[in-house]
Amino acid sequence: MRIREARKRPVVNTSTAETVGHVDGFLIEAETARITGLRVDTDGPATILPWDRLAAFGPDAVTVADASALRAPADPSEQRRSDPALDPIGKLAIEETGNGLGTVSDVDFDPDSGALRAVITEVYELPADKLLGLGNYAMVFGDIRGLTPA
Amino acid sequence: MSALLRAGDLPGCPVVTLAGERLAEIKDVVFDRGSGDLLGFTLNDPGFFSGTRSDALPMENVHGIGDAAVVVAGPHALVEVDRLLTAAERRGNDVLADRVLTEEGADVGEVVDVVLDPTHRPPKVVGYEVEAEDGHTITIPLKGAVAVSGERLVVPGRGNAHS
Repeated sequence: MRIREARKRPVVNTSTAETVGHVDGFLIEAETARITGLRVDTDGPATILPWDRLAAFGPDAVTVADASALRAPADPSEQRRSDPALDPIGKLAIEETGNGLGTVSDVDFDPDSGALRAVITEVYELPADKLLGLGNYAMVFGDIRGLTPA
Repeated sequence: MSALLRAGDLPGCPVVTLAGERLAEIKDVVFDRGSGDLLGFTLNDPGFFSGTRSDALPMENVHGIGDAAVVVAGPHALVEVDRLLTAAERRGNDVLADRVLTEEGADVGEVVDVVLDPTHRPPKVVGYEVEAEDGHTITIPLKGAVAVSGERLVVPGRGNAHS
C-alpha cells in the first residue's frame, strides 16, 4: 500500500461504527524502516494511533476496536516523529555519499505489519532496508550501488 | 557514481546529517596552502536570509560529498570556526589564484579551482584547474605536481602556455 493513497482514510471505531478521525500522517521510525503509528486528524487532543492498536489498515478505512486506542504522543521521540515536517512526501532522497536520488513521491508499506517496503522517487524505487534517516530536509540512504533507475 | 567534483561548486551546498536534518550550507572552502589539501568548510545558516555561522566543518568529519549534499554523521561534526581557520592561516589559507610554473620555468596560468575525488574518505584533492593567459582551462592532476608552496604550484616538464 502507498502512503499517498492511504492519507485522508477514515479511522472507524468498530464497536460504535463511528468515524473518530482521518489519517493525517505516518510516524516513521527510519532506523527500523517501519511505521510506528498514525497521526489522526480528530476533534480532540488525542491524535496518535499507535500501530499495535490498529485492528486493520484496510483498503477503505482504518479500524480500531475502541476509541481509547487514540492518545497523545507518549514520549519526546514519538512527539518528534509526529511532526508534519517529517512527512516523507516531497523530501529530497540522498545517498550517504551526498549524491542525490530524487524527490520522494511516495512510500510503499505493508499494511499488515507497517514495515516500509520501498521509497519511490522520480528516478528510483529505493529499498526501505537501506534507509538510514528521515529528517526535516532529507531521507538518507546507505550505499545503493548497483541500483538502476526505475 | 564516481564523478569528480570541483571545490568551487560546493558553496551553497547543504550540510545534512545521516538523520536527514539540514545543519547549514557551505560558505567557503578552506585550503591548506602548504599542501594544497582541503582543510574543510566555513558555514552559513541555511535559507534565504542566511548569516555566517560561528562553527565550521573540518574535512576529517565529512562523511560524504556528492551532487546533492555534504553529509556528516551528526551535529557533533561541526567545530568552532577558529579551530579551522587558525590551522589554515598558520599555513596561508588559499591555493586559489596561485601561479602555476613548470620545472623549466614557464608560467602555465593561475589556479582557478580544485578538483576533488569524493569517493575517498575524507574526500581528497586530486587536481587543479588552471586558467592559462589565453583563457583556456586545463586540469593538472595533483600527482603531476612537483611542489606546492604558498606562492605557486610547480608541475613537471616544459609545458609552455604561450606555444
